[in-house]
Amino acid sequence: MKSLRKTARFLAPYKLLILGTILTTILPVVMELVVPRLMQMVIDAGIRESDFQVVWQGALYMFLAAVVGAIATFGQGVFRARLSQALAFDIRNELYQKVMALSHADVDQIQTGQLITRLTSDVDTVRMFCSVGISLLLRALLMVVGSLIMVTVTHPPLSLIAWIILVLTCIVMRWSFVRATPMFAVVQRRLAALNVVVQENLAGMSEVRAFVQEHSQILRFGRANDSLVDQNIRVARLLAIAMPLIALLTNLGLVGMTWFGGTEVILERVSLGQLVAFNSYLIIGLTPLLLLSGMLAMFSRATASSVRIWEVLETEPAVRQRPAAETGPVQGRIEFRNVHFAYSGRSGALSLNGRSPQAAPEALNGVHRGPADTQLGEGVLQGLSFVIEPGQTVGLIGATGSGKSSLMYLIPRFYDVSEGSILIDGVDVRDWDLAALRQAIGLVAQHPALFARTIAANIAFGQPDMPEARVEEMARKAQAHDFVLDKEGGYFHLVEEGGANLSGGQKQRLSIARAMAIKPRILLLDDATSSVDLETEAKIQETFQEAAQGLTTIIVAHRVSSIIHADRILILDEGRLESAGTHEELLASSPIYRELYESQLG
Amino acid sequence: MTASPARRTQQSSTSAMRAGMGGGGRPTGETARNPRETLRRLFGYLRAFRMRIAFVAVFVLISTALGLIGPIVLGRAIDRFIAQGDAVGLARSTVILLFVYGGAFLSTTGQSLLMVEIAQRFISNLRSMLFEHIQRLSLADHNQRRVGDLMSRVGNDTETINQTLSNGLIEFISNALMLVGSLVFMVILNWQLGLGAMILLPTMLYLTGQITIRSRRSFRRVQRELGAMNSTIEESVTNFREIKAFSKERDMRAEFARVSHQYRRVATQAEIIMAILGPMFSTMSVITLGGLALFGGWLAIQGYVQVGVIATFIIYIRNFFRPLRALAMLYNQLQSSIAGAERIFEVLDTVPSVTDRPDAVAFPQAQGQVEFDQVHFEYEPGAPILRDINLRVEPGQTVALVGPTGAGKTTIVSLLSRFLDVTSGAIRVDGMDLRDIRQADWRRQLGVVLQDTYLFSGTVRENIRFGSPDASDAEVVEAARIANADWFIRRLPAGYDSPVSERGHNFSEGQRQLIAIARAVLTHPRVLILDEATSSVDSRTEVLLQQALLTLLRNRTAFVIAHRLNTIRNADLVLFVQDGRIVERGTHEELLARQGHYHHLFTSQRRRLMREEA
Repeated sequence: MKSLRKTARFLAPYKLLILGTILTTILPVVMELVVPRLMQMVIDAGIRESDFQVVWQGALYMFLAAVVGAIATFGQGVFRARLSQALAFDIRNELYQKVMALSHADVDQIQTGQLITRLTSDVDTVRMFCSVGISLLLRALLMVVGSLIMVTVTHPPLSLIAWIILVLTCIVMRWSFVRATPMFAVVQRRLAALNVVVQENLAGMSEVRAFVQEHSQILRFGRANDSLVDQNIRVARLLAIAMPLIALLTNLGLVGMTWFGGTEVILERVSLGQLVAFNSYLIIGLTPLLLLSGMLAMFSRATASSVRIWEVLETEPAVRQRPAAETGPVQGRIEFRNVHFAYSGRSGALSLNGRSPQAAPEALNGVHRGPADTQLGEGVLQGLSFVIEPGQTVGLIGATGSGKSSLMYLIPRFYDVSEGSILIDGVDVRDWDLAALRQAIGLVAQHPALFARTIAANIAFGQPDMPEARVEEMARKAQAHDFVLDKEGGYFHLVEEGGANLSGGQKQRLSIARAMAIKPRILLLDDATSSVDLETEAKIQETFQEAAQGLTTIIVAHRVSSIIHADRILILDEGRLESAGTHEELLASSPIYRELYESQLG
Repeated sequence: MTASPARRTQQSSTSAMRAGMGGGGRPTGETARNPRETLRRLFGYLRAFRMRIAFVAVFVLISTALGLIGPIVLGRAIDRFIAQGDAVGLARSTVILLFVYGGAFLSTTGQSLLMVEIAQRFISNLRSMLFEHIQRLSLADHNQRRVGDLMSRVGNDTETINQTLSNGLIEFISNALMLVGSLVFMVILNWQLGLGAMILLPTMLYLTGQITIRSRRSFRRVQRELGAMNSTIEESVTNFREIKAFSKERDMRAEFARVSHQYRRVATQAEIIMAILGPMFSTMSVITLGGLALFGGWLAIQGYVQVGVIATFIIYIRNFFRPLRALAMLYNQLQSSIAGAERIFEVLDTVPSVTDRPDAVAFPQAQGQVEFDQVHFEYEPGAPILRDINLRVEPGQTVALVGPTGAGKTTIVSLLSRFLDVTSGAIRVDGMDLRDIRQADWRRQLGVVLQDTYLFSGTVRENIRFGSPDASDAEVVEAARIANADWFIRRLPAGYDSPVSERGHNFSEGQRQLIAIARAVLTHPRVLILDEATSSVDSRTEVLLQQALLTLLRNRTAFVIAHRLNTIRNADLVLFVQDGRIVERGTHEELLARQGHYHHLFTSQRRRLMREEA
């Protein structure tokens, strides 16, 4: 409710559209309210007095009312559509901007699917409510108030019936509203639970098959399905009673009107035409309420959606830029001073899977999802200190979970350190201008992500106006030129979503070209050669060496062979710097290194 | 084509989440391919509810009839009693009206209550049927259909049908009855006025049809732009790291603003078209009332009609337009539903590519002798994945599969687990063709530890017990101990009852593998399939993992897709697989001595090292 009200701020820039919508809502209502009055005139002054002139006039006015009403309602449709779509557009863009402003720590918490839902269907639900809901509400309100005024003005005692019915209807609506709202919330929760079952089943298909658990999966699904259906039926039953009840109340009003109005007519205190008009007003005034009760579901869904929208909008980015930031240029000296780091798991800000944060089991083991490495226990990095001079190549090796990738992501400030500091050219990264810092860093991730556009556009990603010649030069350097030419259309070959039409090695080489194309001072390479075959591995490692020349380079390696030539090798073990030195030094001094070396190359 | 099924399923899981559930019911402007057949099948499933549907039909008839009678009683009260000053008659009419409306209330309530139950149970059955069928499909069938797609069939498509069924259909039928009834009664009450009202009908139908067609077109456009917008969002989240690294936030915002604007444009159009619908009908009803006043007034003055009849007509005309409006709304929804039902049936009609033969036999206790006899496999004719695989493994032996990515190693183990069936040749276990054995029996004796260990949400205990739900707590702990997982599980805050989040994200890769090994240990498999993880886990866990694997392999026939030298060295037989063939076989030493592919693979890293060191 509160969050829906907050959403109203998005309406502020559209005062004219709102005014137009309101006016064009009022006009047709007025026209409709005039009609029974005209009918009354036709009956009393026309038919009963046998004056065709009056009948003719009455009909003409009605046609006029219809035309005015039609034009106004069409206008209302246009205004409303424009208003609501503009609203959705603004919310969507602001959401997207917000997401772009967030940092990795925030986004790790949201799943892609979640985000798409928030940007599309949640926004759409709120839009629907604002458009259909509010205009229905306004219309219903006007109809009710208008009809009642007309009835009250014409004959106050008879209008009492209308008032009583209205009060009763409101009581029924409030009752069903109060009861249904929490029930809808339960439906949403159970739906999410069912989603989890299906999702897990499909993602863990191999396990289900291998362990012959199809039957227990079906049972699990059955339980979730039944509990959802039971709740759905409970809600629907409530509505199945409430709706006819409201209709019954309207009809009781008609009956009451017939009896009391009828006797008044017999006593000649009310004309026949007035009675007919009263009946019409009752129908006009009360049927919109029936439509309103249909809005119940819409309202509760809109509330839930706006909560989810505001959750994103109100998340403060974990990484923020300080004013008066250093803009460079970057020389490339990297210093880690007693760096501690833990994924803070800001799960309070964005709940996973639409569940409430306290229900998310993520927090229970004291462990939170990191991007790649997750570790049970305390910090991922614990008190790292080292210096890399400009132009040096440093290899980083250690087991999965030792914090290598995390260390790398701290340099471009994807995350901020929990303690200690990282200095680039003697300036804390938190004092650097974010864009300047990141533009000086070339990043090749372990599983590089490419964009669904041409190969050339992917290479020129960091600098879209790059000349073709340079794109090709970069591709050659990254040993990608040959396979690019083999593709249909060469550099204009379209990369599919997620790079599905490229092999792992090809993606890696394109991402190296992309990183080098921005002329970085610092190169961060996360080696994924474990997932490619040996020939590709050799090629990628050659390109790594080529790329690293003259740049400060950190290579995160999973195999000793990738970093054997580095100026210095750092061994990470469980977030600590175990030892450092050249290949030969480490072979002599570090048992972990020797063990690694032997297990991989022995 | 040979990526492991697990990996492939995981790749498409983001789209699964994109699809989500419960978002159905939105008209998409789709057209069903064979609506008649689909409807016939849908109604076939509804037959289970035929008694209740019969009751609903009776209730619908009653409430419609009562709804039609009400205005007539009212009109007669006006003409016969009020206009004539007959208070007793009026009282009688009032009582009748009370009964009519009371009855209408009861029958509508009864009808909705019944229908709610029917629709929900029907959809629930359909969903279960779909889910159960998905469980019967083999992994190869899954690879062709993306997870997200299946997810949306279970969720959205059933939801669309539900909405049509529970809200639309009954309303539509009762409204249609109302429409026809109103027309009939109007003609009976006063044929001149009734015929006048009837002229309106074709006009309205024509307009409704026009709007419906237009709205379908614009719905389709909206759907298309929505797709474009979704992929932009998906890309920006999955590629978030790259966008940040290259400081491309502004460009992405601009791109999003563009697709968002496109969407806004078509959505506004669609909404305007839909917005015309409602007001159009209310305007039409006012115009009709005007016509009624004119024509009816004239008739009344001529003495052909009484005021009460006009009052009745007023109510009828107000009711008249509701069904038409519902018709226009429902048409699109119905089309989407039928298209949804078609997609559901498409899944239900998929014949699993791996099925039990009718005469498949039980297979209680395998010894573990495995034989590949001239095994050939292809997904599509002419594109063989595996060729001429011949192999004989004695009980208790360990086979290590090595070779480049995409060579067919995963396919070999998939065939052995019968996730796939051979195209020609045969795989025999203890001399029996795998295809003659019941799948479930075979898989129960098979232990599988995959590279990407998938954990299910629940507790650690439930995950270890996954393959053998009847295992006692003591057995679970014992299995964990054998798998070297006991020590870290005990250190967790809630021990074996610690929660596992979706996909097991709250455990490290190494821990997930240990749990997976415990899971396999607990099923006491005779034959083991192991897809060794490529990346190393932290050094302490690594040692534990190696030990656990060795224990697991002891006395069991095992097929290992091996990446670790230790595993390969300990194997009884090493197969070097390349381009779908076994190109070399023997022990580690034999293969090294042969100086072939394996030797090349093994020494290439070393050679490069030497070169660099030199």
